[in-house]
Amino acid sequence: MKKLVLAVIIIFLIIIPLSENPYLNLIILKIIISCIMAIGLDICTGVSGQVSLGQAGFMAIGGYICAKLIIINNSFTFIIIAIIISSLISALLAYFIGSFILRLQSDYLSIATMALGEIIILYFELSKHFGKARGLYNIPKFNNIYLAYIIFIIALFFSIWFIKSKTGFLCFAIGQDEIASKSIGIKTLSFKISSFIIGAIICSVAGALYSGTIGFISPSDFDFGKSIDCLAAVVLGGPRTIIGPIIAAVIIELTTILLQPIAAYRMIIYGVLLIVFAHKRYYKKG
Amino acid sequence: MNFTQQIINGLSLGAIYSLIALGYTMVFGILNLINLAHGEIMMVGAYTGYILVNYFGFNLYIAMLGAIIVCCITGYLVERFCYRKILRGKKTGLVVSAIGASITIQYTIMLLFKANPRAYNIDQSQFINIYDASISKTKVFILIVSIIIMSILTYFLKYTKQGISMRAVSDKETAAMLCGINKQSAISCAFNIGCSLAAVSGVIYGSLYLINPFMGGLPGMKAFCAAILGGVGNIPGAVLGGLMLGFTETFSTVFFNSSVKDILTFVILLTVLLFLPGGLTGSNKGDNRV
Repeated sequence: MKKLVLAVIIIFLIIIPLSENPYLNLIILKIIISCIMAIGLDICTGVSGQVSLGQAGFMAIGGYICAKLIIINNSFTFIIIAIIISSLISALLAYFIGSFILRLQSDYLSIATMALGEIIILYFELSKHFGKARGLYNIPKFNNIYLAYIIFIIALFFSIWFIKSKTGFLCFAIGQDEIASKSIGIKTLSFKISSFIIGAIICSVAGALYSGTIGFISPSDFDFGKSIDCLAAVVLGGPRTIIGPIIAAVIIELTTILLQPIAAYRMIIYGVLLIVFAHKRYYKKG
Repeated sequence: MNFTQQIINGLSLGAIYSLIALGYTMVFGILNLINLAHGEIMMVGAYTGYILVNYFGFNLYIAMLGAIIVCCITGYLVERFCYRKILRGKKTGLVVSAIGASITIQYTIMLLFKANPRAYNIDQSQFINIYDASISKTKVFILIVSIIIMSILTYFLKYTKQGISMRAVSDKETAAMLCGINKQSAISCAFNIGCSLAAVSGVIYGSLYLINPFMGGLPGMKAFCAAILGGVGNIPGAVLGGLMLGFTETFSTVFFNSSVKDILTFVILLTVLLFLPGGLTGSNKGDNRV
């Protein structure tokens, strides 16, 4: 734990001077955002075992609503309020939809969340208020390295606390064997919902930061590939380890940027890695 | 609005969805596994057909045969390397593995053919007039092919030895093995049939619309929705679901606009998953879903 804090502080000291360069700054912010996403999905998928493929949808909600509010008023306190409002809306949606779809079993759940993500993106693509397929632009670029880093630290410590808390343990039990945990009296549905909501909130905060980093957003920024990136970070990094998905997210984001010219090869390697790791993590004899 | 024309459009769209949905149902029925890479196998079929039609000048029948062979090989590779070992483990692993397979297939095709959309080089200009609507000869051909395939499939599953053994494995695996049925051969057979259906539907899709490496995603999702709607693991159900979805899409395009139809499909998918787990035909395959 102490080592972790030390590592975090050292990394922070290293990246501050790097952020003078605007291009490097953008890359660092993008990496931090995908780390936050990975933490969010790790709570939902890694801890309580609910594979969600709709995480990009929640990210879109965070990004769009926050951008819409910030275009109206662009003061520092209001930015914080906008982030909170957008994540509250995500949380409400996650609660409402989650209480229905989390009754589904594993693979059906992933299909349902995939459909949910697509519905959200299609809504933004059709809605007049959110600029249709063109998206929103001229968003004030409020995000800087300090804000992103503070939110990252908050998410990190929250998730570590969550995994060690009683709720986290119960969620883990549900992820291991749902029927067994039901039989010892755990209310599985409500725990699944709570981890789903936490995942949604963290992802929508990441979305809000994304809109403040880039300055314009369109529905294609939040396509299915984003959800896959996020899931890949959790699976490759190791579910329920928090630090694993973060490292994996950094590597994925870095390779995305470095291997830009040969993106197709990268995706093929990526697909093969997913298959290999799925075999490694979920192989069961018999 | 020309009503007859819309019905014909809905019918031909529905026929394509039914064919893809049948592929899902065949694999699901026996393995209890949603083959998420099914859309990609269909895409491989469409590209094989594209090569055979455009570069070698074959007609659609031969293109279908070629596509079936290539898709069966692809399907075998997917089943062998992505599913077989983790079939009895957690479903989560299967989902991740299937997504990995989809990405790999998509980008391999993209490397080979580049991402730009392509069209089959076939004559679409011949029309048949029925009442006050006109239908292209390709569409008539497609409808006939799908009806033939569906009847052959029903016959195969109901009356042939291999078909009966496949149904037995899907009903109760252990009991079927005790009766001396070769489980692995039944599974491979189901997977091959599913891939052949994907190949045929890929060629048909390609002959009507543009093809690109990512075409498997949306039609695949929609066909999956059709399979769920009709009751998964049920052959008439898949056909019924596909046709209903085809009509819904065609008429929602007429009444609203073309992007509402995608939302509508996903809303149908969610609603059926939640409130009607057995689908329209009340299939009992999805009992363990909720």
